[in-house]
Amino acid sequence: MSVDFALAVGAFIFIFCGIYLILDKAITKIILGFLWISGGVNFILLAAGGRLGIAPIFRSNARPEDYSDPLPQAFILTSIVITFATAAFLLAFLYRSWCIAREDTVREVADDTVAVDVVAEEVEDAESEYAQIANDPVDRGSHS
Amino acid sequence: MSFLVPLIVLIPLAGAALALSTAARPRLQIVITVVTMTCSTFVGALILSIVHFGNKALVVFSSGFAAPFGIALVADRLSALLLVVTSVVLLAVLIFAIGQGLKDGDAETPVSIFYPTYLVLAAGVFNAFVAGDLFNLFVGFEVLLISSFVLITLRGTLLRLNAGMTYIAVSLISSIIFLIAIAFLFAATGTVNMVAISQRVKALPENIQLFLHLFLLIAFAVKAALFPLSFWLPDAYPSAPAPVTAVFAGLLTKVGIYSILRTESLLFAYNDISALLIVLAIGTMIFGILGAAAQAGIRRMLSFILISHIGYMLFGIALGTPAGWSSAIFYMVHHILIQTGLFLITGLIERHCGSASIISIYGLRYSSVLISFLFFISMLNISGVPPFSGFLGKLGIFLAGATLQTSIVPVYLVWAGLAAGVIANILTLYVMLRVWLLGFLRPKPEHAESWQAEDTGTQSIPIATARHLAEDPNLATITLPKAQNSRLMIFASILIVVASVALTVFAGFVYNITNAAGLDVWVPEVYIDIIKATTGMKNI
Repeated sequence: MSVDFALAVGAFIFIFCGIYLILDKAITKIILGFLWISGGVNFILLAAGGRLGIAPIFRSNARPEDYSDPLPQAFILTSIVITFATAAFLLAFLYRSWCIAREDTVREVADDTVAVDVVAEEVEDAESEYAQIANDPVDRGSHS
Repeated sequence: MSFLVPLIVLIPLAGAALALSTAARPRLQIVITVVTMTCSTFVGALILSIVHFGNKALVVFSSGFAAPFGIALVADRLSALLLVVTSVVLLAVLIFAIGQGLKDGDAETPVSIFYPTYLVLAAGVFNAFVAGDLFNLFVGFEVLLISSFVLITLRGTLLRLNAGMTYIAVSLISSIIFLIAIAFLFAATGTVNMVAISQRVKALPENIQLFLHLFLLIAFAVKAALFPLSFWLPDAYPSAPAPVTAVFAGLLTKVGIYSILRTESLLFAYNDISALLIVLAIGTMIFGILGAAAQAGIRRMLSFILISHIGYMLFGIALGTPAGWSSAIFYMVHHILIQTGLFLITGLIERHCGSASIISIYGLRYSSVLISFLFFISMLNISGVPPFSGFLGKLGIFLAGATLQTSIVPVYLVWAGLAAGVIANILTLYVMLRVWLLGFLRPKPEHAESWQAEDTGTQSIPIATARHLAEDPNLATITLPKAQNSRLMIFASILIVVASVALTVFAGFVYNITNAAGLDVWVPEVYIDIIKATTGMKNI
C-alpha cells in the first residue's frame, strides 16, 4: 500500500503543532492543540484508506477496485462528530473556569511533593498520640 | 435471543433521553433512571444465563449485513459476566446517589444533568463490553469518557475543574492514540472487525505486528492506569462527588483492562509480549501501593490501592493461560465490587465526620457501629484475608503463576511477579489497618473538637469555600460540611458489601463461569468457532 506524501506531511504538521500546544498550561491552547491533533489523525485515517478512486456509489460499468474505500471516510465522520462534542464540552469548561477563577491555566492538583512530608509527619503524630492513649486504659472510649 | 445484545446499550440511552426530557420533574426523573437501570440489570442477567448455560455467544450484525460489512456486537461469557456485574454496581451506586441527592436537596447531584449523564455512562460501558469491532469499542470509550468528563466536573467548582483538566487532557490523548492505532491497523489489515483482524494480522511481518500491538497497548494502558501511565488517576478521582468516584473506581479502569484482555487473547494472540506485561504488572503493584502508604486522605489512598490492584489483573492476563485469564476475570469482578464498596463507605465516613483524612477522623468504632462493620468486612476483603473473595482471586492468580509451564516467559520473572503480589498484598493490609487503627479505634485526641454528626439539613458548599479548598495543596486536610447519611445511602453501601460477600459464598459458581470464559478466549480459534456456531457463518 502506498501513502500519499501530502497526507503524511499534513498529518505530521498537524500533530506536531497540536502536541506543542497541548503541552502548554493555558486551557485555550490545550483546546486548540486537541483540535489540531484531531485534524492530523483524520489525515492518518484518510491515508489508511489507500489509493484514491471514484466515489463509492454504484455504477454499472465500474470494477470493484475502481472505488475509494468508504470505510475510512465513515471513521473520519464519526471522529469529527466526537471532536465537535468534545470541543463544545471543553469550551464550556473553559468558560466555567474563567467565570470562577478568572484565569486560563491548569493548576497543580494536590501536589504530592509538598503533601507527602506534611502528611507523613501528621500521621506519625497521630500514631504516637494514639499509642500513648492506648497505653492508658482509663481513657479508652470515654469520649463517646 | 440475540436482540438482547443491542438492547442493553439501547435501554440506558433511551432512558437517558427520557430522563433529560423530564428534567423539570426530579421525582419522575429518578423513577425513570431507576427503572432503566433495573431493566439493564435484568437484560444483563438474561444474557449471562443464555450465554453460560447455552454455551454459546450472542452475535448481532447491524442492519443484518454479515461481517466484515456489518458492525458486530458480541456477547460471550466474559462480556456477559462483566455486563451483569457492572449493571449491579451501577444500580447500587445510583441508589446511593439518589439517597444523597434527596438528603441534601440535590446539592451534590445537581440539576437535571446527573441522571441522564449517568445513564449515558452506563451505555458507554455496556457498548465497550459488547463491541465486536475495534471502532465500535472506540465509540464506546468516547461515550463513557465524555459523560465521565461531565460527571467529574459536576457543579463546576474550582477544585473539580482543576482535577478534571488533568483527567480530560490525559483521556483525550489516550483516545487519540487509540484512534491512530485503529487507523494503522486498518491500513495494515483492511478491517476493524476484531475477529477478522486477529486472522489477518498473523500474515504481517513480526516487527509490524509488534509495533501495532504496542501502539494499541499504550492507549489501553492509559485508560487502565498501568504503571507508569497511572499518574493521572489519584489526582482526578478523589475530588468528584462520592457516588461518581465510586462508579469511576469500580468501572472505568476495568474497561481498559477488558480491552487489554481482548488485545492479548484475540487481536494479537500470536504476538507475545508476556514478559513486558509482567514487568508492567510488577511496577503497577509495587508503585501503586507505595503511593497509598504515603497518603492520609482515604480517597487518595484508595485511588492508589486501586492502581496497585490493577497489577494483579495484568499479571493474570500476562500469564496467557486459561487459568491465568480465568482468575484475572474473577479478580476483575471482585475488584469492581470491592472498590466501589470502599469508595461508597468513604462517602459515608466523610459525611459522618466531615473529613476523610486519617489525621482528623477518630473513634468511628464507637460512634457508628454500622460504618465500622461495613468497613471492616471490606478491609479484610481487599487485603486478601481468607476466606473473602480478595483472597480467592489472588490465590487463583498465584496458583496460575506458580503452575505456569512455558518457555516464553523466564521463570524468575513469574516468581518476581508472585513476590511483588505478596508484598503488595501485605502492604495493602498495612495501609488499611492504619485507617482502621487511626480512624476507627483511636479515642478522641485531646485537642480535637467534638464532631458528633448533626443533621445540617440542606447545605451546599458555597463557591467561596470551594475556592478556599482549591488553594489548599493537600486534599487530605479538606473538611466538608457534615450531614447525616440517609437510609438509602446506607442501604446502597450494604448492598455492595453484601454483593462482595456473596462473591465469596458463590465463588465456586463464579469460578465456573470464569473458567469457561478463560477457555473461550484461550486461542482465537475457539472464540471464532463459538461465533461461527452461533451465526452459521462459513468464513469471517
